[in-house]
Amino acid sequence: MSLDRLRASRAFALLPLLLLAGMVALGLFIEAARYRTLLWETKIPLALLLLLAFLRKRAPGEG
Amino acid sequence: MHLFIELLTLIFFLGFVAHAVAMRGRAGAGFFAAMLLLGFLRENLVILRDILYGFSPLHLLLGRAPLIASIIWGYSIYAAVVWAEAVSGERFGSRRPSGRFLGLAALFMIALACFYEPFLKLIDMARWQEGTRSTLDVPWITWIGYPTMAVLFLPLWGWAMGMDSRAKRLAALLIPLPFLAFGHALALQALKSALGW
Repeated sequence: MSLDRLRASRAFALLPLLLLAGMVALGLFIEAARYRTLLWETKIPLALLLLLAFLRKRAPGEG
Repeated sequence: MHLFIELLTLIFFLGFVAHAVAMRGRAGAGFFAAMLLLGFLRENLVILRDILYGFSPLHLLLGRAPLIASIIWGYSIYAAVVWAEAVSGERFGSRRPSGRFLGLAALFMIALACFYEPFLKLIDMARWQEGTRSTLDVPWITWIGYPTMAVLFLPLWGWAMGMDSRAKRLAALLIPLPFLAFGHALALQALKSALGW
């Protein structure tokens, strides 16, 4: 895949947010497995914002 | 556990840099270089002046401050830019971002503070000053500190990148950057003390 096609890909554009979502999941795993707790409430704002970005449709003409 | 988190954050940071370079070319690399300098200056001041918070002894350092503290700003603000672009449709680049874009980036930074801070406390990585007021282990002052860093840096970057020569761009960025780094930490401590937070 050429760099131009990669840049045009929405999935690639959102890759940092996917990584961040992975980090949230890993945080939850560490909390549960190592510390026997879940700080889930504090992850709700970030989870909702990430979800918003993933669900938002690309506007017409948007690169 | 600390070394694992430090290495993981470094790997994610390098991944973000690669993404920025792929998407934005040299401007992406420059963005992270500027943010790294900003983080390095700010976090070393926090350590040397013993303000706001401290850290457990960590493995990877940049100057006197933990590497993770210096790189997390670039990592977080770039994530906020990517999110604000996705939600607003506005492309961040060589002009000042709109107020709406900055508001969205600020919102995302607050959400990141809610994610990072309780986790860092749980694993005993960061230690805020004794008596710091917080809710669900999120210090109140972070709801100001995180978004203001993005709201101050992003217009500076956009303004500097709008200059018509490389020398002007460098000067427009590098001269205010230390003032922003030191001013942000010192002003935040002053505000925290004044509000009793």
